[in-house]
Amino acid sequence: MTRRSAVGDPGFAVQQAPATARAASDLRHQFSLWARRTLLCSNELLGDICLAVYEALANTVEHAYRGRTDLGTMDVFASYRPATRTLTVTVTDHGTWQTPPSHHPRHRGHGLPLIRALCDTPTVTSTPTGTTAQLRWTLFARRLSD
Amino acid sequence: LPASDADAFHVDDHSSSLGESAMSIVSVVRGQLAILAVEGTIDIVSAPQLSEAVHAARTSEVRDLIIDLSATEFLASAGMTALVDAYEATTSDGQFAVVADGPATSRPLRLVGLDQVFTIHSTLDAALTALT
Repeated sequence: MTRRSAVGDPGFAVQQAPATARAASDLRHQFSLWARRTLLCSNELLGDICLAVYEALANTVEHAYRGRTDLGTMDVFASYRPATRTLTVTVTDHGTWQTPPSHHPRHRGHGLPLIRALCDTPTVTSTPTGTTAQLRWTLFARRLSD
Repeated sequence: LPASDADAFHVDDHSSSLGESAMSIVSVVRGQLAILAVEGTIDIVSAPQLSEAVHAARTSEVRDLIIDLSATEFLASAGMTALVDAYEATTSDGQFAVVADGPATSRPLRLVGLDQVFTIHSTLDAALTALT
């Protein structure tokens, strides 16, 4: 396949997607297409990135608007800086952050531990109007041509 | 499994086509062992279907369960929760194993430590050998 230069890539941006399970699946697909043509990294890391982004979306769908009757939305932004080989992805909701229960492999809720394991430096910032999860990676390995 | 035993199999096909989260489960039962082969995507849309298939497979004759993720292309944490539920439903009186190999399935399972909870085999043959 022909890969577009990562320099000047406009990034990935979807705003006000409905916070539904179907939309999360569709966004995962769209994001993976962008990541595949933009990022120079191994397929394993590509898989890690797409899974972590999906988990952030799924967490929003399942928790951000719990107890509310109106349909919430979520925003996804991703940008890659070739100079520093840094990928930054943010998933933002406009709901209420739910404190996750403590983690044990046999208990429910593997999403946040999975994000922490897959991502270099995940951060979660909550304000009264919403929550932003920021996921960052530094891409070291150059992807082999395929 | 030997092809000559095919007549003894009970096969259920739980399929769905939900856009980017398409999943299909083929359930094979022989004696007290059920094997669920999951193809496609296990995410928050399709994970409940996996739990339903596990429930449907657990008849009074079935004690042991293998969930085969060899053809699973994407495994999200919702799918991992379904696997843990299946493990807990099975191990009071039977054996449980997962077949997973590669970055889409085995890797995330190990990253959250589920290889410490149930046994993960890289092939179905290895799982069958371990359970029989």
